Amino acid sequence: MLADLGFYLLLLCLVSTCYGVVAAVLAALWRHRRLYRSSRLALTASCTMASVAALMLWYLFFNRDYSVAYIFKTSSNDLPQIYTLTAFWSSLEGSHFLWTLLLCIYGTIALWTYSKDNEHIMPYVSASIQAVLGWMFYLLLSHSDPFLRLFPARPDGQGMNTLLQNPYMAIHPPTLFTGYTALAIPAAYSVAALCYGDITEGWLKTTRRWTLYAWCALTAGIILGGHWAYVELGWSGYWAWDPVENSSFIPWLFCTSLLHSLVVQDKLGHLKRLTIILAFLAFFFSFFGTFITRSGVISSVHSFAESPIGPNYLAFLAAMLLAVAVIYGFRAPSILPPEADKAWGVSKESALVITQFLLLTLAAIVCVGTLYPIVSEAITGERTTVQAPYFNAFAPWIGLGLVVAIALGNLMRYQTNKMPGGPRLMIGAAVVALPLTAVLVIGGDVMSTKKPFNLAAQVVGLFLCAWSTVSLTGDLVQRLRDIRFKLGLFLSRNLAYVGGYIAHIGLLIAIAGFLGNYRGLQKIATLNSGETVDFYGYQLRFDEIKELQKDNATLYQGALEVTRAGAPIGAITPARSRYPTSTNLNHEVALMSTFWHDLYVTLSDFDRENGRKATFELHINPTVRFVWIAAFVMVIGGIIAMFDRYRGNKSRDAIRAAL
Amino acid sequence: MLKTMTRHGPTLNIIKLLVLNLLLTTALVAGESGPVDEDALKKAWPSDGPIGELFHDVAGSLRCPTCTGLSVLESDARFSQQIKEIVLEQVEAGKNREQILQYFTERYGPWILRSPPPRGFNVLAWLLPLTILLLGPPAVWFFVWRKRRVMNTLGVRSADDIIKEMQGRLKEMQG
Repeated sequence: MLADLGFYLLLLCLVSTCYGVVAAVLAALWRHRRLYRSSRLALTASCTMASVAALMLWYLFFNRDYSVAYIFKTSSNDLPQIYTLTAFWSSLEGSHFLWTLLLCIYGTIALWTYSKDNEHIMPYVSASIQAVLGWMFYLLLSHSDPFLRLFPARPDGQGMNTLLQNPYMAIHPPTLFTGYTALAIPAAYSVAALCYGDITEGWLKTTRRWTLYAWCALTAGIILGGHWAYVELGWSGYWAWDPVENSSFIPWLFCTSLLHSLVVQDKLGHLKRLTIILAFLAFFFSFFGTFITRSGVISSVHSFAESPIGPNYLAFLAAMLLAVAVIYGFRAPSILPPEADKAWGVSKESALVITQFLLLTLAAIVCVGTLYPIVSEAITGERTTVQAPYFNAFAPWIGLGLVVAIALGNLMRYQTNKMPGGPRLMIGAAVVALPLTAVLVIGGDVMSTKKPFNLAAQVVGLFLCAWSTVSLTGDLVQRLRDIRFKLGLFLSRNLAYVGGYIAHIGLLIAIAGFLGNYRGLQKIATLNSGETVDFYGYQLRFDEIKELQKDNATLYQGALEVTRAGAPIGAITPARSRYPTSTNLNHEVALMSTFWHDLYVTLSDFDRENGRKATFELHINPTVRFVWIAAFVMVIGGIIAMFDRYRGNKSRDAIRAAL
Repeated sequence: MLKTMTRHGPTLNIIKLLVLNLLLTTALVAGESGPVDEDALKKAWPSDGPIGELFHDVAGSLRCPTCTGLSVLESDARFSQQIKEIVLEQVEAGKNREQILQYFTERYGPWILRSPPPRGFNVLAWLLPLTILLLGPPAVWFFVWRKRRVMNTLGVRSADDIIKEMQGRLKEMQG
């Protein structure tokens, strides 16, 4: 009953968004304010109804109503409460629904929190958002209905994918989807700017804020996903360059590039068209990522036809691209730089363009690598694989370029080739960076790296990261000194700069952390009860395998007592878990983290008879913690930058005066 | 997007093909994919010395047939175990990296390698990024820096003009 009601609510959402699109387009054509307001109300209504439908689905989940096919597929009676909550987005239908719901919510927020001087383009914004939403609701109803019934209802469900029964799965998908859907707002504003024919200052401020919000969510979402992979999959890494990961990384790169393009536009008025293109592409690629991972097209060209939602996505993507390309073709010539006196030269704006070039090149490489197997199989018929070694051949060089560009770019100034105190700062930073590098090299035990190339890459990389960090900090201190360290005054005017500073430091910490991948160690040890293994200064003593019950899972736990330098430092319990709904054994990773490295242990095999013999995989993963810290720092930076006050918005002031 | 897929489990026919291949080429007993219960405990793969290094290098360049994104080195799936055993055998027999990779390429096709070998059509996959990196800066120069002076053509509107136009539109909307 409730499930049918949910379906009809979604159907009403479809009707309401369709009305919203028509009303918004007509409002734009006729310049009719009340019609526009009714289209905004239509979106608000869709948002409310979709939220109610989502609550219904959750209610059905908690009632274990297996007459709903989706609930039968993704949950079971033994599922703990927390995972019953997250089972909502554990498969195609639900995650599609979550995507749509979040787009509704952010679209509604965007339509109600506009800046006064954007009101003339809001009909276009409303039409763009609801056009996407309408399509999503259509797909939801036609191809991935979460309320589809299943009769007769079974007594128990098939159970949730056991790999997803992890706390990170409660937060990773909503965060990432928040990023994807929030990117729709800058894209909608871009289409609106094209339709109107120019960009106001208010447009820029609003777009910048939404882009920053999306950027924070994407950053957090991607790293949370990496953390999930790290603790759940048991292969001791957090990033494998697999298509699913890549398809979340590409929008991030576009989003980051967009932020830099917006900065140039803010300061100089240049790059307006690039901003529009990037804002659209960022959203396009978040959609595209959904398509390639949902349709199964990525594992093989042949599986493409098997999933009906794939071609639909493809049709929509093509339609979206075509529509925007046509609008762009007709309208872009009217979008011009405002004044003629801002010329390009060797200055900060050029450094920002180079940064964007590097980010977009990486996006292109990731895109090529992800799609190459499909293209190659379609053309030559030969199956190929593109995995980590391919991406790792290019990504570090881009990273190197970014580290240098961050340092130089931040020391430069707009519209001048003079760097105030530049050479002195750079040389000073290099001197200060030396002891900092020494700390990183000694603390991280970098010298134990065996291969000379890896060693050199790490030392040079760490030095450049340290140099770049000190240069940035030097620039901050110099700016503070210019206003005699009046911190309050500085913060009230420069939150964007401070946020940018923090986010860049975060990225540098992350890159220093990635360098740890050059020196990981691993060992496989088969131990009898009571035996000890030596590994990188740790001694691990195996006792025996214990079988115990935790929530719905049966754990086979191999306790290891860890001593280091003769002193016992605790016990770790790598385990395998068996869930009632599956025959597979999952990894329960045991971690012992220090600041410099993680001791990462998985139980790969054990004697099923008496549990007195087991095989462990031991890993030393250096500087993984840097990456987690870095993500936190970057997100904090992004949030601070979001609170940057409006400084001089001429167009808004003009509107205020007029109304 | 949402990682609902496990890292194991691409199309079934590849698995079948591989089962067949493995049975034919190595005469190892391969069961259906999935069951973990094995009688023998896992082998301790070498991690030190020239043998260990070559083993790591080669096993790290071969993909795990049943996972997405992982090498056989990182995976403990049954197929990966078998491939690792063959690799170790050949390393111990004194074959070099190219010979072992060649052995696997002949049996499974270039698909087994984690990055496409730069031959034939695959050259494109390697040339494309390099082209972007090399031709990008001139392109940036051409499209951006070349326009050192933006000409004040008739179409260029100042911020004030835009505001005026915008106010006009809003007045129309009042109606």
